[in-house]
Amino acid sequence: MSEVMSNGVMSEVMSAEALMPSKKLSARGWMRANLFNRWYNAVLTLILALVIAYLGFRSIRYLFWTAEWEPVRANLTLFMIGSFPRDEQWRVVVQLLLLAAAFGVIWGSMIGASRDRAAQSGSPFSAEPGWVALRRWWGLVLLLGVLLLAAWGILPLVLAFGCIALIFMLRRIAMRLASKVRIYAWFGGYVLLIASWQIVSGTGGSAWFWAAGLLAFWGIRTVRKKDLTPRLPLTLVAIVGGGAVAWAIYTFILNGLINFSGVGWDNWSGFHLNLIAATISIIAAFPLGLILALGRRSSLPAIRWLCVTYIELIRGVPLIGLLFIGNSLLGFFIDNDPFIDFFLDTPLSQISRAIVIMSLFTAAYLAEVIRGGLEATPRGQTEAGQSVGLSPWQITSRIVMPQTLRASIPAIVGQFISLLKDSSLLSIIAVSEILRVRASVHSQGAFTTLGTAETLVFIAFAFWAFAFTWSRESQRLEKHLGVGER
Amino acid sequence: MTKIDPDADNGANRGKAGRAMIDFESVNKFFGNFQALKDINLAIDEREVVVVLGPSGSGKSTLIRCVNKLETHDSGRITVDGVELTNDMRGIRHVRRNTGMVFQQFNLFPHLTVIDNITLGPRQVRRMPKAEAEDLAVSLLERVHIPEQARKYPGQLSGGQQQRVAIARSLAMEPKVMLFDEPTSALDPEMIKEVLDVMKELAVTGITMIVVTHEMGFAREVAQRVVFMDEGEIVESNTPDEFFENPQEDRAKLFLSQIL
Repeated sequence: MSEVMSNGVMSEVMSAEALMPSKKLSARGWMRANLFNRWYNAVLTLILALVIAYLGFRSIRYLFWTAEWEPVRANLTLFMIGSFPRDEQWRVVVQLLLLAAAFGVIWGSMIGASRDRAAQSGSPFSAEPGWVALRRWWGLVLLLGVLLLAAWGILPLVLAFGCIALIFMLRRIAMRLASKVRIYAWFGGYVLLIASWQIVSGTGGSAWFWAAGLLAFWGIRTVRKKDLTPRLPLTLVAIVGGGAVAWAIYTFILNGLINFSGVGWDNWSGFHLNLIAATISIIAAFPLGLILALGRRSSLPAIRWLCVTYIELIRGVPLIGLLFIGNSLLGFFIDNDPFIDFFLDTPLSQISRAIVIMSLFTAAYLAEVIRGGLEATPRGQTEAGQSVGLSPWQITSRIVMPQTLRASIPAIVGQFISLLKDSSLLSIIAVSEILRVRASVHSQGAFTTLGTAETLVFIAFAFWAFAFTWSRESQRLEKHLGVGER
Repeated sequence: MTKIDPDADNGANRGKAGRAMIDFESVNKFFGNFQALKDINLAIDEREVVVVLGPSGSGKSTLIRCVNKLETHDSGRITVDGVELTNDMRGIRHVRRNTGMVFQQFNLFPHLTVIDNITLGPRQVRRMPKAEAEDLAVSLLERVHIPEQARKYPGQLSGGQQQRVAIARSLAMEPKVMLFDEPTSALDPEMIKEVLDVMKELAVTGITMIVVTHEMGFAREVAQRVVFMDEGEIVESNTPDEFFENPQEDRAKLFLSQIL
């Protein structure tokens, strides 16, 4: 340091740096250098300080003194799960625990996988400690804190900390697994996810579908691991065969044996429904969006125009209009259709229709997001693939798509966030999601006029906590995957 | 295969006697109204190393990109190893399988490790088992002098290393023809040599090579023939010694006076 200071030029640089905020300055010095360095800046600082202080004072006074939180506190369960049957509530509790377990396993496996990749390519890797992640998710943690405070009981507290403990315990175990057994961890995570779904919905109808997924997963893995060729047809066989076998087992062998009836999703409501509807919609929309994006770039005019028409039609209509259309029109198309009746035991309920519409809507937007990613992949990548003799399909699936999806992740998460917020529109077609629940809260005698603003603030806060956390996560993922740097 | 005597024939009709690996017959190529290739007649023998020179915009890159049909010619005939390039996808893929190409911008696949970049072609196109393909990749990486980089991602390598991986990737298909489209133009000067060295080693193995480059030293040392292009035409085709010492055409003289 003294060497640097002895150099005349360097010491001048140092004195210029002294104007910048740095640890060397005291708080007083920093303020003098940055906030009060000119008379007009001092005036501005004072005015702004007054405005901020006033707003802060009013907000704090509102949040902690004048606001009527009683409607929120008294109806917390209603906001969260709405009209979900109360004697089946344990299912939601188990679902939360299963979700936490799945999350822990998958998270840990992801860390383990990237550690392996780093080790392979010889770059340094250090797993982020769990509490850093918790700090990053402060929005959700805050929501959890508010909920626990409002619920004020031992059971919610035990559940919350049980979930957190489960996440971090399983994460710790999963991230230490050797790479050879990691595949079973992924598998386990998948099973846990399905179980978390089935525990609430029951095994009726859709169980064979999930089993098909499992069998297909196993089949695809075998094809990959054993390096069987031709790969694509065999993979398709694995998927279709897995589905057929699962369906046969379910229908002919297990039918009646496993008849674990749950609460169908038509009885779901509250914020629980918002989250589930958004999740199902994004999962269903993703493959459709992918197909639409590829179709829009197809060299066959018929396919291209079909996709363009679909995308532009859907994007040109507001979601609320589509929801109304779905509510009244969709029934004409699919009720009493023998093909659809084969898959569905009962006619589509209102919620199912709404979810179908939301999926179709989101698919059009996802298609555009993915198309953007496709077009952003440099032409040289395709040419390099062509020059080694890859087929157009191989170029798309092996070279272009992986890069595209990686580059599209932030935008896809963005779609998911807006889908979650859009799920509040379901209230307009009389689906009892959280906003609809709020209306019923205020129809109770005690709360007709009390705290109508506060319930809205609470709902907004719940949406914000999820949206904010996801958006931060997607930014992190973007950096992590090295999007934008080649 | 007998070694071709570079002094045997200076004209564009070469290859009549031996077997022409690549044959251009009156090829024309347009980009809109701009004619990129004008009546190209060029035959390149098996095992021949040809360097294509010319000012920028002269159609050099277009010429070699027509060989594996990254560009489509508008008229005339192009035949590669006995297969004519038409709209038939199978013929095109056959030619591409037997033709390696190295690009100015490397065009490595950034989401795959070096070894996966190299094994992708053999495994997908030639259906080679994974273990065999990886053995091949390792031996090719040794050939381009970077076996230690196998598990890294392209982004972790220097430009020269990336270009050598790109060469290895092309060689993994065991091509009969290698096309080099300005392979050193995007490299820092200190990395040009390592790539040129690999190319020189490749040239003596008897593979057919077409190299578009501005490296005159490489052309003199390695090429059996220099093709000089200007404004979409082949202006002069000659041995490197003849071309550099005694260029026949005015445009070639002008080019050499500017570049040397």
